[in-house]
Amino acid sequence: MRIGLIAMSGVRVRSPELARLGVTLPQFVSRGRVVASLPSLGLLTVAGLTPPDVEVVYREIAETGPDDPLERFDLVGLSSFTAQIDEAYALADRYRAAGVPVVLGGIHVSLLPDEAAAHADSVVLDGAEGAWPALVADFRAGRLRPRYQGLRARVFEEPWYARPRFDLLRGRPYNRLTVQTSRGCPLNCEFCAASLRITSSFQQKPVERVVAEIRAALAATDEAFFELADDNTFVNKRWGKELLRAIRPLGIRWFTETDVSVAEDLELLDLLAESGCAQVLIGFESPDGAALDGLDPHNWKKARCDRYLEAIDRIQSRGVTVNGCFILGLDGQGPGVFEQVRDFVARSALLEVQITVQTPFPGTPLFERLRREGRLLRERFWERCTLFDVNYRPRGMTVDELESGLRWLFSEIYSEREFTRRKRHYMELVKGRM
Amino acid sequence: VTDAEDLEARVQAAIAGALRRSVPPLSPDDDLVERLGLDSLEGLRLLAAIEKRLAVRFADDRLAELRTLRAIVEAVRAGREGERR
Repeated sequence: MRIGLIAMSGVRVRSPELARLGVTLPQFVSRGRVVASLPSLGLLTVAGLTPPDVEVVYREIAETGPDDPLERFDLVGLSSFTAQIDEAYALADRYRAAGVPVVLGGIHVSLLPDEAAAHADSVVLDGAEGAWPALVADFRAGRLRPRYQGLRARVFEEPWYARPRFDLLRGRPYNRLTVQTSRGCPLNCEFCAASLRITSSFQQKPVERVVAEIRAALAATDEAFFELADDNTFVNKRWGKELLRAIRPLGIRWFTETDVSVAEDLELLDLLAESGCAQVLIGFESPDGAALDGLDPHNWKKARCDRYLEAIDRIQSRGVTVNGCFILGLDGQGPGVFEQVRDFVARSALLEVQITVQTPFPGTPLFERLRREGRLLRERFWERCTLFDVNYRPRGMTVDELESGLRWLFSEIYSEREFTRRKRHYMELVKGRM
Repeated sequence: VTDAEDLEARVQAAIAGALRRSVPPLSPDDDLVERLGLDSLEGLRLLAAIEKRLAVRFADDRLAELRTLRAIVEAVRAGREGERR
């Protein structure tokens, strides 16, 4: 039996003005390009959950054209971001028309299973752990069911856990590899469409498993730059330090997403630097505390907003850069937010900055609230869930003001002049620590 | 040993010290990012270390051009001459 696992790669911008800016401004959507070029860890995990006597083939959708003949498989598994889900559905429809059964899974499919079911023989909800082995067994027995419920907890425990099949990446030109150390995030921000939506609680992988995965990935690819595919790696500082001490001897360089509280633990910061951490991505969301009100259920981010600048300096002075993320169009933001963000970035000297539009991904509390309030611009807009396209009526400004403000902020922050200034600030911070 | 050779050797030593690992022999026109497998952040840290060690400051608008030993040596020399004036 031969199973094809096909990843939908690529992140794009629908707005032609922003697409043009992307060509002319350094750094713009650089993070998006990185994300788009990462292998699908979800599908590699599915491969790891597949019985060893089944042949598994990993493919990227970018490897084939839309009119190329379909590669022959006995069963196809597809997973996609929301923005490309319609392309995944179209490919699923082609395979099914050719008589090849299709399974769909991932976060979007888990949140909208009825929509996905129209394009699949079976859908997997939440984690593949606890679902995929049974699905394969049922398929072999000729009794594939239309829906399989995966685990929302204990995904890293025996007998559910399986090491991702990094060996499937052998010979492929990735410059970054992904390893997951945790799933979910306790902050539970309203807009978040990441793995917390398919987990019932925050889950951490045993440190020895993380190390074994990194070693397996290195053995398969020789690539020494890793992305931790986490939503918030250092929720638990004690576990975090254990992890950092364990990966320190591996000699890798790595990146992860976390929250601003890492700056409160100086030992953790030193370990970050010593273990090869190149950059942490932190969602600051807004420099203005009032705009953060209600963003998460406990106003966790709002309570820490006045410490953002000090936190950035503390982290970057270790040589670990911060990729600061800001969301535009939050309900508490007015037209002044664009200058606020520009000024904050200038003061902070964040080396890298990611600016996105608040995006109501289907299935999130934000989506439900905006729909209740009648503020969604369209009923279905999945292809516009790019993080750069406006899909709702903001509260503190018009749609036009949000779109034009975004373009203005891009040209301010991503200009060569500003990026050079931020590089100089970073170098001075590093020199100050030498 | 000429001044130029001495400066080149000192830049090489600064590079090795900054990276804290053995550095392969470098030719003046080797692309350091490719030759040493640096990511962009390591590149900046390397330049910061050279500035600190050789007591010089590179022109901000030339940072992106400093990718070879030759370019760095010339920038160090230019920085020192700029200070003398």
